[in-house]
Amino acid sequence: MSCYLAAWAIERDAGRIALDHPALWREVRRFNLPVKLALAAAQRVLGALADPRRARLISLAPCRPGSPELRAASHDADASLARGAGREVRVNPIHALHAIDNLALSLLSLRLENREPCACLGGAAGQAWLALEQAQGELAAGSAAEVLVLGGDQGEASWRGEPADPEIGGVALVLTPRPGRVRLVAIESPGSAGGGPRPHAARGLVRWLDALAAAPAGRMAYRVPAEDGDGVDELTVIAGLA
Amino acid sequence: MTRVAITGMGAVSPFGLTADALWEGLVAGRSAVRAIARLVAAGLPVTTGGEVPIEADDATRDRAMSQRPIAEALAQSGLRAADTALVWTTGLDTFAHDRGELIERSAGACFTAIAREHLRPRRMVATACASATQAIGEAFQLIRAGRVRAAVAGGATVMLTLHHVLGFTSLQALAADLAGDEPGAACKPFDRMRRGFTLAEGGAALVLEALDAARARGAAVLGEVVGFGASQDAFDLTRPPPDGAGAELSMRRALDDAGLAPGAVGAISAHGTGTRAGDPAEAAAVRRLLGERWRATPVASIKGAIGHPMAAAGALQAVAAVRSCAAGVVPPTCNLVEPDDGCELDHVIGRARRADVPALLSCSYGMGGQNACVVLARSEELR
Repeated sequence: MSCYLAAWAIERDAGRIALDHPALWREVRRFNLPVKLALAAAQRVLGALADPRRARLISLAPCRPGSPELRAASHDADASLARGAGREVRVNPIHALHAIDNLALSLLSLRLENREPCACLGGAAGQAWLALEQAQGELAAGSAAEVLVLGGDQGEASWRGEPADPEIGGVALVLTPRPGRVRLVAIESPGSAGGGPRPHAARGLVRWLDALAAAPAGRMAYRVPAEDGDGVDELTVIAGLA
Repeated sequence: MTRVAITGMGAVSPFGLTADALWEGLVAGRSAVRAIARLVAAGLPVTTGGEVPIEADDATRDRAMSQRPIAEALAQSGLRAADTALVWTTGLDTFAHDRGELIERSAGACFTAIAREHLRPRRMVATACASATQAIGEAFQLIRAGRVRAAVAGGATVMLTLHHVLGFTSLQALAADLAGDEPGAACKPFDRMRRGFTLAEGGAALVLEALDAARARGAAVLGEVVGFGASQDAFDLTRPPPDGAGAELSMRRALDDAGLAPGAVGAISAHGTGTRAGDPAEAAAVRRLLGERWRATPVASIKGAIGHPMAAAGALQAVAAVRSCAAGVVPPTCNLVEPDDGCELDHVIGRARRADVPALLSCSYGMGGQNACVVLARSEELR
């Protein structure tokens, strides 16, 4: 069975969520940036799902989880712990949740009332490409009729609470067997990769989607940049564009 | 479809650094949970935990916790890392101390360091406490579908950091210290006096491979993975639904996947963490799944004995489950004395029980609502 990219969305501005999706904002405003961005991107592709309650959800955990609030609380706590005053430390439980990898997935399943099997890939380098592979495999096996992949990134700057962060971004993709303009053919591993990867949930997929958007009709072999890869294998994403 | 054999197992747990040590400790019915000096020194309200007696400092502890059980499992199987894919969990990022400095410890970086020795796919699973069971299930699916011939599955975590204890204390999930209660008795799954779980370190690895390939190379088959089921609660971020509907769904899906009726289950390895909300929800789900057979199907949780290594828990459960199937013995739920109202099941209390266990359902339910169950079966050679 073929696997087509039915819709995708990229979200880089968490500040717009309250304006564009006020209901979503009420649900995510307390959570950390990668979660907000992933869910905002997902919100924009939900219309492409025939049955959101039955879709297969594949979430990419943030490679840099946490938040400035949790970081600050942890550093403050460390001083108390060092002097044996752990009982005095109070951590906001919402901030504690900022460390949880599956938070975006859980929020999305709640929003969609989705009780289907799911996957959440952890914050290691190159997992985004495995998410595409897994989506393709699920559709080919007929174990899912449609798949929503989502993920969000923040960088060191956001984690520290600094305003400008080139690393931020959320991405969501819907993959289905219904024919569309972009067909995901395969993810190939022709050899070993050099260089060190920079772990990401969304960034690599965003670059691939940007390249797809600019590509002419025909076969497109996208060689994953080493820094977006898994640090071990060279990866090439093969797509067919109508 | 390809049948999936288990040909190697390894574990590090508070009982010791081998799968044998885990099994022997569980069968003995004793607790390896104790007071942890650094938690006491930090003045935390929770000072108990399951600590692994592994020699590794804070900075390298996470890798050692993964590498050791993987090496044990591969040695037993006779395969090399380079022969296997990896479906693994390394838990959550946290802070640790290195020579007095507060450092970040990335679970993703730990995974990457371990994974490079394996074949693709190298999949890092992150569905909270369901992760390792999900990892075993996903590896099973990959082999059954013929996408890989062999995989190492499971996970390892280092959850006994000061910051994890603080975080989970804030979520009111942990068993706070109680005057007069022995440290080893802090976690009491399904018991009337339960008050939460104790965090633990640990890890376990299973080598899964196509049964035909295992037999062809003369490998000993320890057991089989025959079914996998997963679900989501879609109920709440930190609590399961009181009726355990999501847990029941994942168990039913696992049994459907295995082509087994609930009556074919010889025992259940419960998630059983000792929380006020989680245990009765799980018990309700098991009773509905089994019907009247719930009164005669042994159920046990390993978390009273070793604590809760969170993402890795399901791998340790799976190792114990395979041993249960082979030995016909179900270890007791340590610290369970009097099952609470709503937690009624055929609990194994006090000491290990002999039982015919041709198939065992091993269950993990993650915070956030992701649920995973695998069905493990006795090796045909032992039937």
